[in-house]
Amino acid sequence: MKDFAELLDRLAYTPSRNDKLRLLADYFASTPDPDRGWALAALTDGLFFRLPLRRILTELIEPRVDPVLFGLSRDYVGDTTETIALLWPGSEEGAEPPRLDDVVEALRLGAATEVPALLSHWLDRLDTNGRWALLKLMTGALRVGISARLAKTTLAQWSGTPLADIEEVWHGLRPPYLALFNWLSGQGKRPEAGNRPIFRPLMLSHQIEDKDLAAIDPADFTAEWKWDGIRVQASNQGGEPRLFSRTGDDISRSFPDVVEGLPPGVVLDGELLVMRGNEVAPFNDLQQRLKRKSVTASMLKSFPAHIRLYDMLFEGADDLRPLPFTDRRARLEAWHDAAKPPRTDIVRPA
Amino acid sequence: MTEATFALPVFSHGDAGGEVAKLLRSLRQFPERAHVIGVYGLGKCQRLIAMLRAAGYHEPIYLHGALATCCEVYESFGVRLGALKAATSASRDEMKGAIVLAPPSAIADRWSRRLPDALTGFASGWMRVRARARQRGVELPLVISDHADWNELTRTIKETGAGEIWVTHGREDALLHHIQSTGRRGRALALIGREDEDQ
Repeated sequence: MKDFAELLDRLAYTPSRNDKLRLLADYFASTPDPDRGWALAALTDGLFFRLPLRRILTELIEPRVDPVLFGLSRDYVGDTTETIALLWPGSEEGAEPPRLDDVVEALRLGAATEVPALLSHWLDRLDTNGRWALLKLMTGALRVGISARLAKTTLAQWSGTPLADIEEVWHGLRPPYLALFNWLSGQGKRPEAGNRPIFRPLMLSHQIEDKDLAAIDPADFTAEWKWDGIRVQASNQGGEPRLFSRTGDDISRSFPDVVEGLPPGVVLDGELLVMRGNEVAPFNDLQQRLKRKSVTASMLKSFPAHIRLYDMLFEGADDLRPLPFTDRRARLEAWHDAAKPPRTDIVRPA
Repeated sequence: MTEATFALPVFSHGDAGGEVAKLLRSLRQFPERAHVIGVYGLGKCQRLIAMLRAAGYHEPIYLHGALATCCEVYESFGVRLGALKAATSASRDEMKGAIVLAPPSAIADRWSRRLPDALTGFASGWMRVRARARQRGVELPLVISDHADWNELTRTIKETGAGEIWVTHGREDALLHHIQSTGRRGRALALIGREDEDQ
């Protein structure tokens, strides 16, 4: 916990991206498993604890600190969890502080009713900075200016592995990322996604500025309308049909209508829309569906979902990604003509 | 009569040695950046130098001109501070990865632009609160204070056995509350023009 607390503390005060990168790389190099993997998960938003933290803290603080003094302190510091980290009265000299691994495992596996007792036990054994980091970790929002992308870039630079290779295996990995660190430190094989139903990194779209247009030869490009939906990846690998958002979130449960019709063996790239007949409904209609984790029969009927396909990443065992887009597009069109999957279409040039 | 600079329970100053270790670790991590640390000229400056020497740091320490005189006074009384150099006459290259001490007002000022990729720190009890450190634009806050913290203030009040305490210089409200809730009489003594002297 001490190393993790020091890392968070330095990151929070360090403005430069390159300096953050160095702090992270030093941490990954010097911290053993599984602690560094849990830290990576915390930094890339892969750790969530469903806890009524505010209530737990209120219950812990009330009997320990005079409410007037707590109020004055809170007003001065400007942040409740930081205030608690600073004035927590119970510190036990010389007691062994918890490891990050102890904390994460206990929070993941323990019963919610045990959390207040555990938390006060940990707070007693940590120094100020450790208490601050622990409470930050439990809120689930570290806010130290590290994006998931920057964390992966650090792993790439630190290990000399191309970033794309890490992105490729990332969605098949789970915290505390033992297989990943084994591979990156040269002690293990690259973790293989195989044909598991995981999100595959895709090529994101970027805005073209007016000044860019002059430098572009139309013969080098294909174009697609910008539809009013969200970019998705639809896949059916290993017998498990899935729908992912462009950041890799699994949204299958919200869209059973498009997921159930996906033929086996494919990974497809396209735009998720609500469509009535041949008409693309406004984005607001799609939002009615996106807001819900599970959908009712009447929602499915009044807001029918549909995918307008752009690209194909896998067909059966063939990984099409090394091929040029024109070849992948030809495969997509041929496949679509033969398979005729429901609730999908392709816009072809007239 | 007591001062009340750090009279809130959030101020309990830990082991300053840990803060010196933090500075030395940062020097190893960022050896191309000059570490410019804000220090008060009388006391804090010499204390930090002495702690660095005690921690085994024997490289020259570079000083802002305003700090030199006080250091000479200490040395004239036999306090050994090791190799000290004037930051103004040193080359940029020579100060890469070096410790440079300057008055708090100079660390975010034009003055520090002469330093190679300055990483700014500040050795002060105020650095314990994140909003205060961010306000100063500090990258390396070092919680090193020569003032009494909350525990020392409240312990001393108890030890004196005084029945009436006058509180001045800083935040009176929390300390007065503490004094009154422990059955003593407390009064705020405002010294006009002397509030927040250290900020």
